[in-house]
Amino acid sequence: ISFDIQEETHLPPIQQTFLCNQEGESIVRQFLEQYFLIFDSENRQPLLQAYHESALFSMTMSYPYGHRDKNASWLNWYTTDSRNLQKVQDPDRRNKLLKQGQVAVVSFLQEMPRSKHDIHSFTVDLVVFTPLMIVLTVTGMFKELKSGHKVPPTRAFFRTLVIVPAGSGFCISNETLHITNATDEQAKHIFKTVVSAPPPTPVASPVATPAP
Amino acid sequence: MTQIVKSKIDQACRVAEEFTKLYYETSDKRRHLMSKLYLDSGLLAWNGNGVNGNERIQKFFIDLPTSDHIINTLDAQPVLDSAVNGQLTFMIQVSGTVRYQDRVPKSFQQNFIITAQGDKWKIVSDCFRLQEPLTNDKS
Repeated sequence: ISFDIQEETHLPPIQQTFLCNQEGESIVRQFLEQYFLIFDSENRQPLLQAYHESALFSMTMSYPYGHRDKNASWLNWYTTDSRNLQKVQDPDRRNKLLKQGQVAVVSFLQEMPRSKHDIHSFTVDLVVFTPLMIVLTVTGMFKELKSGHKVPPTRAFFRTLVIVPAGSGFCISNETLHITNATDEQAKHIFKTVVSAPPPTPVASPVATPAP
Repeated sequence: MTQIVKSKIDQACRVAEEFTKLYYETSDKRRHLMSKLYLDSGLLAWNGNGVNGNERIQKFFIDLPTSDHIINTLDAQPVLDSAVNGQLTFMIQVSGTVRYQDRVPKSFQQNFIITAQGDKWKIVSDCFRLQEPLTNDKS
């Protein structure tokens, strides 16, 4: 005989996309495709146009749970500029680690290791969509290229963008980027998505998907 | 270029420290109070599941298994005035691990937009993602 109250261990199933407003879908898709096409290219300077002149950008890094072992690829490159307020207490240092203005932001992006994002691994959450402001969070995986590792490491990211209207288009006013290692379970799936049926609307993927 | 006042950046950081402490304590130990942290029209996107309004968000949290969060990283910025019409608004990003009941801890990342309503900070949007594969196939 047991008790009638059982603790529920069920978690809601993961959804790849959440859109608070369906009208935002095409804007978000176009913006992300253009952004990562340039981000993964040899030259990230054209991203200047994607940022507000007073844009703010900051980055944090950490290792995923249980991954601080010999097999993990170290995230050393990201350590210096990681703006982790848990560790960085000094207000001047906090201020300095916040990249301020489009030139400072894109200069930093330009310095970051080369990358190849797997757009099929992306999740998108559009949480604010008003005429003044769009807020969206993108997560996913990328391969880090030419950064001195024997095997290109598989990284995971969580990136939130605040986007405002600018002229006939849009630009980023605020961005926070978190970089970590993909877990083993995640890494198995990178660049493995096979589109079995033709999608209802053709999506031009800026990332070439190698044959599995 | 309009300079962001350094004091506003300092404030964002301090508020983020207080806010996250309160948020995770409440969600781990006093979950029935969660709705007080959100705007009436606040939004939660939990692993891609959208929940609209603080009353529905309250119910959503009550239905989740008990949790234990540990924060690894915290970051915060003031949102530019042009996006929010001068309304004081901060963006806060967190990473850490969460253990649901007695399960293995999982890594998570989370982003909040919070805004000043009267003399209280309220969540406009709360985006939570567990770091896990999109598909469950074990191949």
